[in-house]
Amino acid sequence: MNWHSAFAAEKSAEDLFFQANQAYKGGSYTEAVELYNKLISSGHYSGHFFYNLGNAYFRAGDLGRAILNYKRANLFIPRDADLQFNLSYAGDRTRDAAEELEPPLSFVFFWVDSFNLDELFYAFALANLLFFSILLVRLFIKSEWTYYFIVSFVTLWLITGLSFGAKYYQLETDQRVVVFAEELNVLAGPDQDDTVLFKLHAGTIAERERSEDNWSLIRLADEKRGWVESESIGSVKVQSGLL
Amino acid sequence: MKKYVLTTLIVIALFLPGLLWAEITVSLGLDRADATTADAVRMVVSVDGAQNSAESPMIMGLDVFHISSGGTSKRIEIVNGEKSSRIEYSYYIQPKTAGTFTIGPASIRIRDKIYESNTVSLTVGKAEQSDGGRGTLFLEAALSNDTTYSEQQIIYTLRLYRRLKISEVSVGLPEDEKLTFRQLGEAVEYRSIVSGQPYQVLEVRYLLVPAQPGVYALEPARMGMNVYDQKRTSRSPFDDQFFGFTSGRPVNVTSQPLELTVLPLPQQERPEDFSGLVGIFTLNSNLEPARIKAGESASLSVTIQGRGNVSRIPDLMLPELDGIKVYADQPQLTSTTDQQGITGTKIMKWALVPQKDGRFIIPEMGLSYFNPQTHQYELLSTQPYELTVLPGEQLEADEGVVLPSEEGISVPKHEVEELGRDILPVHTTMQAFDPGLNIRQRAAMLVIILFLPPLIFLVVFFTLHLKKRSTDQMAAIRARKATKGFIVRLGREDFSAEQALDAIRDFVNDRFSLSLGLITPDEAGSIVESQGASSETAQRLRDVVKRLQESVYSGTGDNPADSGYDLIALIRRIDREAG
Repeated sequence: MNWHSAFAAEKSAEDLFFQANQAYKGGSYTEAVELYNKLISSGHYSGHFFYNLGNAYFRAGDLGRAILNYKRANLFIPRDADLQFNLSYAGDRTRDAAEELEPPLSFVFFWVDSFNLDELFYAFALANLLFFSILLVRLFIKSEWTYYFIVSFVTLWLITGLSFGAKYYQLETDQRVVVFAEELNVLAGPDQDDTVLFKLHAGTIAERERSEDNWSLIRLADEKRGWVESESIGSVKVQSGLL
Repeated sequence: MKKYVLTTLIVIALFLPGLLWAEITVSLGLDRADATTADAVRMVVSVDGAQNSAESPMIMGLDVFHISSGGTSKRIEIVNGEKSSRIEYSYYIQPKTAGTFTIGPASIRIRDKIYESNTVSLTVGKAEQSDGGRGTLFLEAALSNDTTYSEQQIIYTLRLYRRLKISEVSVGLPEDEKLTFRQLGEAVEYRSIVSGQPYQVLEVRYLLVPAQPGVYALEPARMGMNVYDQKRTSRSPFDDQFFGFTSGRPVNVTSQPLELTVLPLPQQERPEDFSGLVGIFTLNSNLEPARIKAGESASLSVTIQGRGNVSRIPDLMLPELDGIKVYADQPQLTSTTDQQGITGTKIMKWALVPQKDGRFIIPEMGLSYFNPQTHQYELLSTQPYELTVLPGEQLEADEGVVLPSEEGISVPKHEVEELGRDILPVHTTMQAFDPGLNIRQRAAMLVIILFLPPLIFLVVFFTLHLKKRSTDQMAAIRARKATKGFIVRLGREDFSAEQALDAIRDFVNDRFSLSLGLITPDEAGSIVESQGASSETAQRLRDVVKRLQESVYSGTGDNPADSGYDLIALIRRIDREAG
């Protein structure tokens, strides 16, 4: 892609962003949804885009997709106050008292939820730079202070490295899904005629265990499990952008 | 024969009514010959000999009567072999005025032939009041003001007093192209005593707003209705009007005529900005807040309310203010109608955005209206306001000055009450638009940031390691060659003391990786001894170096050296013992 076409593509994305915002402000929420989706699907992943898309869905009355996109935005901008507020507000409007499953390793690496993958990556990169820099210095200056710096930086290197690894693992293994349908029957098997085990409502978050054809087996935090049609739920996971 | 004649007579008898039936006659009749203007007279047009007619009869002479239909009836009879048919068209007519009138003829078209009736005469007198009262049914009209100004609201009230049952009331108002009647609310009913007699009163009010001055003669208003006569004392349930078996009598009652004098608004002292507003009005204004910081805005609102022709309330114009941008809201006019007329409220607002700090005077605005009660033009105006615009954060420092609470008295605090919840708005700034790096760029950054530092470290580390190793190797090579080099240098017999010292020094440097310049006897001995040579060997080296140095210092350094020892053997021994 040469410089001119890259510039044109960038301008187009800016136009889409502007048009989507204008549509939202003008109350054309359906149009805003379409434009934000177009922006994201063109490869521009940004927590703010997902946040805006969540707002547009919320205004359009689609609570499930609103929460889905808020959750996706949370992967990118986890400390954004507006996002946390809107997510909390939308969550208050869900009907099911179903707790969200804790991500793996979250008990040990409890701080990784407050950072996105990029931030942890840069933190690890910085720690990596410092660590090897002090090692380099140690080659020439073998004094006590270099030793303590090495100890400090290697600790930092390990913490950030493990945090980055944990976050990456969480993202790669993220099987969270959000219910779209206003009311969704969760069945005993992947067939419409199977027994209805329980019902879920829009905005409830579950975990997908596996999929078969057009059906998905989902699980709640209280270990309730059942089958739903895959089109009635949406996956929180998005491409991380690092791979 | 007898049988034949009887049959013929029977046939004639049967045909005879048919012959008689062919004749059609129309007659017009009234139920009375005398009536009053308050009476409804029943008029019937009878058509005999016709079983049906496609048209209704046309009746002459009814111009001065109110007419309402009483229905149509058809009747066919066979009496004593005679067959007869009749159609009756009933009407109720009420005279508008007194006099003697000729009604008819009534004409009707049947089978393409027009048949006419007779005429009848009706003498109509003025309705008289019954002794001790005003009758069982009468209508009164009244004006709130006999004299008014143009554009002033006046109330025209109709009151129907009755002591009879009535239904299906209709109203006919005086017609005047310069007057418009507007009903105020719904009609109300109440009881009243007039001349000692109880009446049920039906009252309807109308708003009149004369646009032009002059004297208006308001014709009598009229109310038409069905009246159910109380004199019918039958107790048959079928007489109840509810069952529809008894029909009320249509009656029209009229009010008295009225005169309305409409005066023009006085020209004297008439303000130039007078918009035609007539009534009673008040004005309220407010500037909030009066002290703001630069960049903030204040709101000026003016409310005009009152009773009168509120649609004439003008839009006030705020003049241009130097240093302040003014944004005017759309004025809002709301009006309500009640039994007293129309009241209205007009609200006008302006947003004031100062462009600089300082004190600004918002000039007063006003309007004129005519008060019909005081018969004068009156002026309503706002007060001039002062808007103080403070620069930047200065308001916070001054807030203590403007707080209404006195020193020592704390203002009670209240929990901030949440009045509503909603999501926060979308992010629209370009900071939100950060498309970030693409995947390839991220991969390149991954490589650079994560792998470059350790790569650099490894390169440096191995470089240094190799360098050291190279140095060590060089030193080892030099050490290995030190003895051989010494032998080569001092292999000939005629070496001087100075040469011998240099050779010993070089040997020590090479053999033990040193960089000594001058070497003393003690240094030489200590070095070789520290490197593993025996004390005896070290002492011998000391002696050699000492003797050679003495030769050099005594000026015979260039002479062939006499160390007293076999130097080569000594060096070999040192090399061997040092390991």
